[in-house]
Amino acid sequence: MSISIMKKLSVITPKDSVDEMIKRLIKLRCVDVRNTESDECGYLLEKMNYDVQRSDAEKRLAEIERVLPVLTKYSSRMSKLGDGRMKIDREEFVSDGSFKHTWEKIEAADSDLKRINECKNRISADEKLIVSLTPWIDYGVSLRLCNTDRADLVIGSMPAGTEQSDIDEALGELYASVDIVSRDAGAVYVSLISLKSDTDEAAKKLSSLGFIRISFPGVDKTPKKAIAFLNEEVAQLNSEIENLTEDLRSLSEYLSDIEVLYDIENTSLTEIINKQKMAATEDCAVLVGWAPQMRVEKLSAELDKLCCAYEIEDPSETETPPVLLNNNRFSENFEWVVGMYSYPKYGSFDPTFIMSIFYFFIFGLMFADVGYGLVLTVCGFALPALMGMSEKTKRSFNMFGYCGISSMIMGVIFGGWFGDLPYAIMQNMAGIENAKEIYPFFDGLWFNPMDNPMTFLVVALAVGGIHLIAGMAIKFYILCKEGKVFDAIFDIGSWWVIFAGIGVFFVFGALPGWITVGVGVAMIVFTHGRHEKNIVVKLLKGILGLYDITSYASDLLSYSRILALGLASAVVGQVINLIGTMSGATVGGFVALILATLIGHTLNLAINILGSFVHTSRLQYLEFFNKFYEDGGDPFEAVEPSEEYTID
Amino acid sequence: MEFLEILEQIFSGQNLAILGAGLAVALSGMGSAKGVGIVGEAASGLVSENPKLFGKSMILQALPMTQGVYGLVAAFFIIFKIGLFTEPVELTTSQGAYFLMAALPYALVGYSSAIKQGRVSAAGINLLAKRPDQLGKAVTSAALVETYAIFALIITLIIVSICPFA
Repeated sequence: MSISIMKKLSVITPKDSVDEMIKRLIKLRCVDVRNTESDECGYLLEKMNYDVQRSDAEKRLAEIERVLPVLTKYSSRMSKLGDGRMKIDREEFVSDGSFKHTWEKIEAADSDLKRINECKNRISADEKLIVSLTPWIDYGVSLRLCNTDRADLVIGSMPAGTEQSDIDEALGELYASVDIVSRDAGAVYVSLISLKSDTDEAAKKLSSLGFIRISFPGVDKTPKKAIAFLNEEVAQLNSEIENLTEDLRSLSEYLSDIEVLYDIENTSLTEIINKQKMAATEDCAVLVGWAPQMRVEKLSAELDKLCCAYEIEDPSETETPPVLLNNNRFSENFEWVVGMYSYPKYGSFDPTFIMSIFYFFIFGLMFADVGYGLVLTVCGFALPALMGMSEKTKRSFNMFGYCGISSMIMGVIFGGWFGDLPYAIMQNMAGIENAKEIYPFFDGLWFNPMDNPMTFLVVALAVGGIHLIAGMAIKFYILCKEGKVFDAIFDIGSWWVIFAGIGVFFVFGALPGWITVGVGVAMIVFTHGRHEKNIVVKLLKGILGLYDITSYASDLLSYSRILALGLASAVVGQVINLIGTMSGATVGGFVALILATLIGHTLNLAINILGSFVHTSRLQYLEFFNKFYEDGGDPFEAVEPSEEYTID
Repeated sequence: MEFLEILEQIFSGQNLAILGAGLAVALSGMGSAKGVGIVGEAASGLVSENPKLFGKSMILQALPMTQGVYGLVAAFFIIFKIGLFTEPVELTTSQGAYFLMAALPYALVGYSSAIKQGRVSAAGINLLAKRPDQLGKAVTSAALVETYAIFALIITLIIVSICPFA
């Protein structure tokens, strides 16, 4: 439950050992490499140029990414349950020739893919040509349309409905003749033969009737032969595609190797990106970065083996180290909720542990149901184990798993079993009239918020009060740690006196209550303006300080959402059960029960998980965090080898 | 006299209570439909650019749905209370009007807050387009709008549950 202490790492190494060092650091997974400023160490440094290598590496990675999904599609490999990633010795993979061999396979697959694309483009072009040639199928002239010395031959289309007589009339006395080749719904296809001297005139006449010239560049056969030729080509291309696909299918046998290669290439891209952050003189290179203190020993042991000079020191005042949260196995699952708001500032208080406990309880109160909780718990813990998720995703699922446990506990206390499913079945299907009296267990060990919303509201507000006071207590602790004990007592302690006074009011009666509240109010009025010099301003600021009561009151009222969300899931669940059990204990009734509960409860579960998650988070961010939180931390991201498909 | 009798039958206590339940569902449902619609339009634009963000944009789109669900809660609370599912309680006209009025806070705020929440969520979609990692902040600011629907719902539920005659 703390923010890890960071050390600043600076390494100077000869340029030719840079590769080796970066490889080691990536394997160590504990250094966040940062950009080296050009005036680091007082020398003028220049960025090392890796642009060419980087674009090469990105190109290679892109090639693998093109090939991978296709081969996965053709692969007969069964998808495994659980984390299917195997530990592969990558150095051995490179040295025993598998690396080179696999690259050949990738090149082959990539060229297959390219050829398939070419074929497909060719096929679609051919098919288009076939469609446009079809009207000319009976035209017995080669489409090269050779003109003679004296005559021109032109083909084209005219609007549908054009008749031979219209054309003849238009051409009149010209030495030109038009044959209608074919007609379809859209156009009339014609061929025009004319004397060279009359061609222009004839074309002009015809275009007034809507004649559009057509040409088929590249086609030098009669339409019939051309279509036959194209059809044959398409068939050939199709069989070529088939062959290529078969080839890809056989290449998919190397899928596992290609996945290893992906990780290797991705890691080397990481290497290059991090090398780009370094700067160098003519012979030496400088790397700066951050490492958590707990890993420093291992880091220096590793660096000692390398040819380099290094320094591990505390961050200076002007530097802001990245933030790595360090929590126990329960709370670490809630770190991403904190991260969604913002990481805490380096050196400030890590709220994750305390927040996780409140998160657990408040989520359970909002979603108090044994059935839904069970579903959440099973999904939250089983899915990551079965599907092999990344650490990050796994944690968020586990968080919901823990919240499900809380939901189950609260469900027993406040009587939620998929809404009121046990009672609905007993009353409407088994015909037990007073089920609630016979089996009070399902109505909650304490009370059911459906019958007693006011009591539940008080519970919600009480939990809210504790949450707020915990937030204030953290601020109290932070102030005391900074040595501002008086600030802690005056700014926070006096509010506690007022809150205590309200409690005393109800427990010991009006007079002692008023006295305690009065003491608290006096503390605020007389101390809130302590930083002012003028006595009048002091007092005015003190009185203004009392105005904060509104913010505490609105914070507290905000917790009434626990009631609203709790009732929302319970009421909707109850209605689903009512619909499900309405038809009684018949065969149709059971079918209705199963359908209604399956669909209805799934929907209710989905919308209420979202609601409970959003509103529990909101209570942490706005009501809890604003009492003490210093945000704005920059998350620590260690350089790591890529482990998409295999473990290094 | 006949007209008055018809009026009396229409505005019976039970009918007024049902009108209240109906308004709670109908108005908040209209609001939610509009809110979800606004976000959906924005989300389609985002997904057309980057289909991977569909899941995230759906979370934002689902936010204005809750007002409609709360409307359902308020309505069923009234329906349970007047015993429509079991034995209907005899209500005078003024007792029925009590439920109608109890339903109004939620019906009105539910309608308006769903639309406003839809707008904030749609803005959140724009945020997502530029910074896909900042979903949490977009969701949080949209969730703030819902607070007032929740307050109104609590008042509606409390007034219904402390009703002295049913």
